[in-house]
Amino acid sequence: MGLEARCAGVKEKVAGTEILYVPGTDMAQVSSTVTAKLQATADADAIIGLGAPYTLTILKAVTSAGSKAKVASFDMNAELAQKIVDGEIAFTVDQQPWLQGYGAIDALWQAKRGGFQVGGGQPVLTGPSIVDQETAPAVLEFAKEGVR
Amino acid sequence: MTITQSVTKPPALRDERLIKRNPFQKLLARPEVGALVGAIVLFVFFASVSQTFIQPNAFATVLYGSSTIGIMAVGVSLLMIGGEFDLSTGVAVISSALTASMFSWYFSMNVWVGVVLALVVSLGIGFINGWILMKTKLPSFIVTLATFLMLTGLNLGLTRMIGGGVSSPSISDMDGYQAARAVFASSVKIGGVDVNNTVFIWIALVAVASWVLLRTKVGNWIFAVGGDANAARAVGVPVKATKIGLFMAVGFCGWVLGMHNLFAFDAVQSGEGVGNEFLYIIAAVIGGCLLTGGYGSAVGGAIGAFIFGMANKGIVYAQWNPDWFKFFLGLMLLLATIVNLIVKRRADASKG
Repeated sequence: MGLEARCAGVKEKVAGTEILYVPGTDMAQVSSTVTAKLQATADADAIIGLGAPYTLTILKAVTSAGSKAKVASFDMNAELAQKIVDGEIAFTVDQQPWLQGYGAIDALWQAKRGGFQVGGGQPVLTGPSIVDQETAPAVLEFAKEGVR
Repeated sequence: MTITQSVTKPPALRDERLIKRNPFQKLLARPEVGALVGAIVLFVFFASVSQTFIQPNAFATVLYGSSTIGIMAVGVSLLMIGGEFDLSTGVAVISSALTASMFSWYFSMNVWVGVVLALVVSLGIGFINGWILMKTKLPSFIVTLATFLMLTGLNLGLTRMIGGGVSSPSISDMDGYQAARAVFASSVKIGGVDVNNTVFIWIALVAVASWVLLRTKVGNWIFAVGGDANAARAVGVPVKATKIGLFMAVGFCGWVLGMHNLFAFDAVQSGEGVGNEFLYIIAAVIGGCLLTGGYGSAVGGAIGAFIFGMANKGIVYAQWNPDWFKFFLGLMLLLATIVNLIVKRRADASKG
């Protein structure tokens, strides 16, 4: 569901987007299917992975297929942050899951402690944060700790 | 005095096993012929709907996609001819990759140490599957379903315990990585097209498995234990050793693919592999291996994997709506299997 929403969001802004399904449980099939899609769509100019490990595989497929497509991603891990620093991946949309967990527990604790209400009872946004080459170096350190 | 003895020749009744059949009939009686026809039909079909599909680099991609299924289908085909199932293969591949990766990473050792340990673990998983099966006489479906679940749990549990995350840490900067990558996950340029070396490993495994099946004593044992284990035991076939050996052969294939997954992508997700066991079984079945054992071929399993790879990638090359992907895949598998069945029945009918 969440992944569908991500695709729908991308498609809303970039109408020409095509969705490619890959089996999330088999990296070798992810790689070969992405390669196939790039060969079939030689004019693709960007490809967005829906999770950090998949984007890293996509990046390898793009490189070995000799495609000119730029690579971007959702989510974050240390290797992905490094690739953004290196300029191989353009950006990622980080949902900041650590903050989602931390913020929720903190809100509960504050409510119990002194009846505090974070956000006045309204939803508190914990993201997303778009990490690009400029912001990636600051993020990298925490990504290595598994916090970002 | 001479004694003349007349020998009466029996009427022209020859042993039916010695009857010569023409080569075409012989071909039709092979287990993989249905799959071969299915593969040709599928190839012609995709070649006609997509121009990209027949280009050499696209074909290399299809072969790569097929090979990662096909390597496992070799072991699984042999096992199915031997009359058993293995549902733990999908996750066992990942167990192998995780073993190599986590061990080398945790002890900061040369990755080859991990690679060798992973081989021991993979063969061990196969051995345990086979041993429990022979000890308990439970159906292999139940035994390997249990190992499937246990391995799935171990993959996640141990990965988190050792590495702290749900995927193994990247080992791309460790000693021996480049050499191991060259062995398990490199590509060879043929006529300007990069062909992944898993394709060659796959072909080699199929050749070895075919040779064992058709030209050695062990091959006869495999057919015998799959056809009728009790009868096989009665004529002196080591049923236990053969079946345990088959599970270990599957383990070996799992190790090969696991090492490819590890060195092609540096890191392994602990949740990978679930569901792939069915793809391997599907490839073997399309290739003409009977679900009941005693019949099939290694080449058949390879053609089955190739059909799967073509259907899988062909849909992408044909630029069809991806929402329908699974439906087309299922339909194509069904058609391929039906073609297989029809050809097989025809062949059987013309034999008698």
